Amino acid sequence: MNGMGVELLVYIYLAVCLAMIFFNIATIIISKRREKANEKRRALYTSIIRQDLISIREGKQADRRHYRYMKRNMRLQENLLVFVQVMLKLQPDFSAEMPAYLDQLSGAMDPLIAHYKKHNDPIRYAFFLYTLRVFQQMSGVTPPQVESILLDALREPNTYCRENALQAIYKSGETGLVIRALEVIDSAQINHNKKLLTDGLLSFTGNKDELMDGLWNVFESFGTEMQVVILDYIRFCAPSHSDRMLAILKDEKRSPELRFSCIRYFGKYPNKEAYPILIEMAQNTANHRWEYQAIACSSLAGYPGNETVETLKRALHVSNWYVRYNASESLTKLGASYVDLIDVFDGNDRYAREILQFQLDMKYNQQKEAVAR
Amino acid sequence: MTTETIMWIAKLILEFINIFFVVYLIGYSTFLFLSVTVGSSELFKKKRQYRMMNAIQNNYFIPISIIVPAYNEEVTVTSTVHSLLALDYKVYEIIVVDDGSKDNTSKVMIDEFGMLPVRMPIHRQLKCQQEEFVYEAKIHNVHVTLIRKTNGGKADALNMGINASRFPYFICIDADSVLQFDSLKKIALPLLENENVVAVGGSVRPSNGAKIKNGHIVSYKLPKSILASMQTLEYDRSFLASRILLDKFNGALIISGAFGLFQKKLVIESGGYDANTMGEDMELVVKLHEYCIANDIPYLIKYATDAICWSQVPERLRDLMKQRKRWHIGLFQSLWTHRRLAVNPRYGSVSFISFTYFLLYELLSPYIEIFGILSVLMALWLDMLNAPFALLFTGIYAAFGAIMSLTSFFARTQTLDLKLSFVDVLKAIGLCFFEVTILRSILAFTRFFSLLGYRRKKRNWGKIERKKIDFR
Repeated sequence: MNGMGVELLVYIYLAVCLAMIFFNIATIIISKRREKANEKRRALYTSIIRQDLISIREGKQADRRHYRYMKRNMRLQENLLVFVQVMLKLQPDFSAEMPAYLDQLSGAMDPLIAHYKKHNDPIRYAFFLYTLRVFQQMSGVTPPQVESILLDALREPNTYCRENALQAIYKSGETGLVIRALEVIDSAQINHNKKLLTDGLLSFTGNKDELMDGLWNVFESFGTEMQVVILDYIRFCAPSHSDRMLAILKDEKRSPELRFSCIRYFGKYPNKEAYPILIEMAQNTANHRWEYQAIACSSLAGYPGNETVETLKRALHVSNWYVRYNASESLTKLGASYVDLIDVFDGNDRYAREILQFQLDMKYNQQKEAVAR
Repeated sequence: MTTETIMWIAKLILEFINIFFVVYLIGYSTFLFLSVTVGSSELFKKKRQYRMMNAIQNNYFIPISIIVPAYNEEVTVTSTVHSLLALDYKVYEIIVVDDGSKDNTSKVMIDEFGMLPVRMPIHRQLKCQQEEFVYEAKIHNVHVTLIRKTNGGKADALNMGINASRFPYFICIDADSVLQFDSLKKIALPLLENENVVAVGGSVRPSNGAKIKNGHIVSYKLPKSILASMQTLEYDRSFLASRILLDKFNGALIISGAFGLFQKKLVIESGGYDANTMGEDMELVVKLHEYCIANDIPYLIKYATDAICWSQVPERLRDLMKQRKRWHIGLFQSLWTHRRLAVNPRYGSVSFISFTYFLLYELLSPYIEIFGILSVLMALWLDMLNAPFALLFTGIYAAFGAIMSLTSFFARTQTLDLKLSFVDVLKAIGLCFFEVTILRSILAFTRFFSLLGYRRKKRNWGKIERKKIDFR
């Protein structure tokens, strides 16, 4: 048997793999050395930055030699990482001096923008955007050139680049910038996770009322997905938007997702005008509307009263599992007594009985655990 | 027929066999080579990313249900649940499904966690056996549910867990496995990166030899057992091969049953776990591919290299053989059930690369390898074997396999920041040759005979001997 072709190929593969083992070993050695070097660098940077910050505290300028040194060194990602770590460590003691220090250092930072972007390495660029975010938080300002970088970064294919840019935008506290960012994402149809967007908006550090008003002003220009993000954000934030929410809830032409968000809003912030609509939705057993019914049953937990209890009791007999589950959960939350529910327990519907019994068991166990604690 | 004619025919047959093996080995070694090089580079890239991500990670989360199917797991189940309670994650629940154990699995759970009975109606979206009782408890704000059901096999227990889960994503883990403290965050990350991700595979590593406390690795060394050490090398190689490389083109066909995350809605729509297969984990993933492509659903099945699950591997050869027999039957069942994926342009790279790889180099490999040995014997008998070359070739090939295992092993330990002693390094170098020669041959024979006596509807948990591990 021969097979010289295979033999040669295997030899080549073998050589490459041996090279990889050497690469592994070299990486281990390099990373150990790098750690040691970083320790030294950390000590040096701490001393330099501390000196500059003390100078600023005393009303003087930071040392220009330090500035030149930093400008040269920040082009290396390792150095930038250590620099950020040192800045974060010193921040609690020098928070008042940080804005002035970063302002004096801004000349050194500007050339880095192009440097980190041109390498076409998303990890590097995402980290650089993170540093911008940290510095922006420390200085409390977002220079115009940084604004445009952040908006530009939203078009990056890498999620981390976009997310870091967005975080910096939220932390800027500037309403206009946040709205522009959402417009960029929406108009370019960038697939950024909706949950990340909603949660991110919650971290906005500026005037939230102003942001919500701004978002309402341009609400109709957004696509449905972004509109849901905005409604969800508003739901987590404030009870003072009932009128607009009610208008969307009433508008049957609107996308179901938008109306679901409004139903949830009125579950969190009970509203007299929304109540009859929720009751109607919870009673509507049309098959294609089961989602409206299920969410409405859940929202009715915030509306005590006989009509609510009767509606929820009727919903217990619906064939859809989610409707029954939400109705039973709401009844338990409303504290419906055994007497209120006796007709369900005495009735013929085993499914209604079982789901209600389960919720009552859960409530009983919670109370028991609370007493035990 | 003259002797000359017979010899001529035999020579012709051997020539064909020769060509077949040349092509087969070129394919295999190229695949292995690509997987190890691509996998290693990917691991290093991830490590670098992680160093930077350490600084930029955010506290986002997606609610997750963790399903722990258990059968006769009284020795390990409470440790596993304790380890799950120590996870660094905001919102999750734990559902232990006792599949009609003959030991005290349910009792130890109820006693250890002070669980209380609850009459929970199960939303039966997937077919499964009847529940016998349900207990629940809230520990450190994590909802723990225990469901005892009639025995129906692992897949059936998982389907029950899915039915009882309340969150949109679920994770299945084995009752003898331990998740690293940050593994939920890591495995959920691909979902945040891309909304089309429907399943994510975690990275499974043998826990034999590792000391784990509250989900953190305290110390790591190669297991004392030679067999377990060889499996560590084998796991590293195969994870690099059939996970990272296939992940590059959305072609992963396996997400280990020991640690995988799935979108509940899609799993329910596609029919859930198949209770009649032994390889329910692979079958589900192949089914998801088929279902999504057939229904034009945009989807991604990803692999999270840094989401680590520590799982016990068998330390007795008999247990290992039993396990591999089970895996091979499962592989056969999955590929046979979804045979329409074979050489089908509609399924693209999933068909032409992943399915073909699993068919030729996993399912058929024991038969091809043993056929190879027989043809060498035949060539020897006919005096047509170039013995020095055959020996050299075998040696080269063994060295190649060993180097591949070592490369994967070092890449994995290095990127996971596991500190290896000098003795362990020597042990790994020594054992890698035994792994590719002796262990591989034993397992080839095991897999060769695995389909004998195969019965389709046999429900089997394939138990191996468990050791009590203190994860706290």
